[in-house]
Amino acid sequence: MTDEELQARLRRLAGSSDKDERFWDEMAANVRAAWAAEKARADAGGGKPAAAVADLAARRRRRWLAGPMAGALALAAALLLWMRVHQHRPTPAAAPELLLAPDEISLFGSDGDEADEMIDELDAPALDRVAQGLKKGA
Amino acid sequence: MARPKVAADPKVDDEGDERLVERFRGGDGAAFDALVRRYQRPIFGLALRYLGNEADAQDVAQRALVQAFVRVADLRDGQSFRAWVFRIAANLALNVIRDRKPEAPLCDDVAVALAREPVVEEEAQRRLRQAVTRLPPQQRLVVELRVFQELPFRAVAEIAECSEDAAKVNFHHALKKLRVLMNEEEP
Repeated sequence: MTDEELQARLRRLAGSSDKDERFWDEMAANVRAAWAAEKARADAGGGKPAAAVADLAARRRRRWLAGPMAGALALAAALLLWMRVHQHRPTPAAAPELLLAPDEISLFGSDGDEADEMIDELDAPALDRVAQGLKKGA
Repeated sequence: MARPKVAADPKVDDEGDERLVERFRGGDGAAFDALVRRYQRPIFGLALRYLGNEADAQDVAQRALVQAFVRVADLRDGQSFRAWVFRIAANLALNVIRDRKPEAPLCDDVAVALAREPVVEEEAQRRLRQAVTRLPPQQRLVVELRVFQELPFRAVAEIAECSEDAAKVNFHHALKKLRVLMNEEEP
């Protein structure tokens, strides 16, 4: 089919307008009435009709975007919270504690005895303790 | 209550669009009426071919004309009123198509008009009409303006907001695509 033949077939799709004059008169009157109403609304302070008409599309777009954006923000907030909770913090190095086994003795006692207390100043019970400790160590 | 008839004024009807728009902006009601009468038929025809039923077509045509006048302040210098109103009508028609439920069948007043055609010819025309609805929006607009509105490519380009060469290329691609689509639909 050539371009001309195809165009001729397309033109047949247009058909013929079988509308009478009354149809067109009514449409023209409707347009005039609608325009007059828009103009009256604009004049009465209802805002610029052009802006109102254009605003419809913008409001529709904003409503459409609001849902997914709110969801994305909520997800981001949840992720941030999760990261903070599970953030690995290095535990402070534990200070080595001096722990004495129950059967160990502290030569210098825990009563604030002077560390440099001379052995020859120890009394008999203390000497016994020392001896026992030395035997253990051996 | 019957609306007052929009009277024809031969003197005004012969004026060019630019002059009529200027007079309309100055508050001349006769200029408004002349523009409405000049464009209501082609706009209705465009809407009917896009939408397939008269009720929707009438609604879109009326809204397009109202919008064209309400927003006439947005008409750029040098832009023709014809391009302006056709573009508004095409966009409104595409919005209606987009908002239609996919399963809603088209009410085919155009097919009824073709019922006088022989059966085989009607089937071929039906395929062609379906193929036109499947064209991309810009190609469909170019076909509508060039074939149905019989506008020169310069005017088509202005309405389609492209260069004249691009309009010709679009038209050529549209015809090519129509052939492909029609072959796809052949039983």
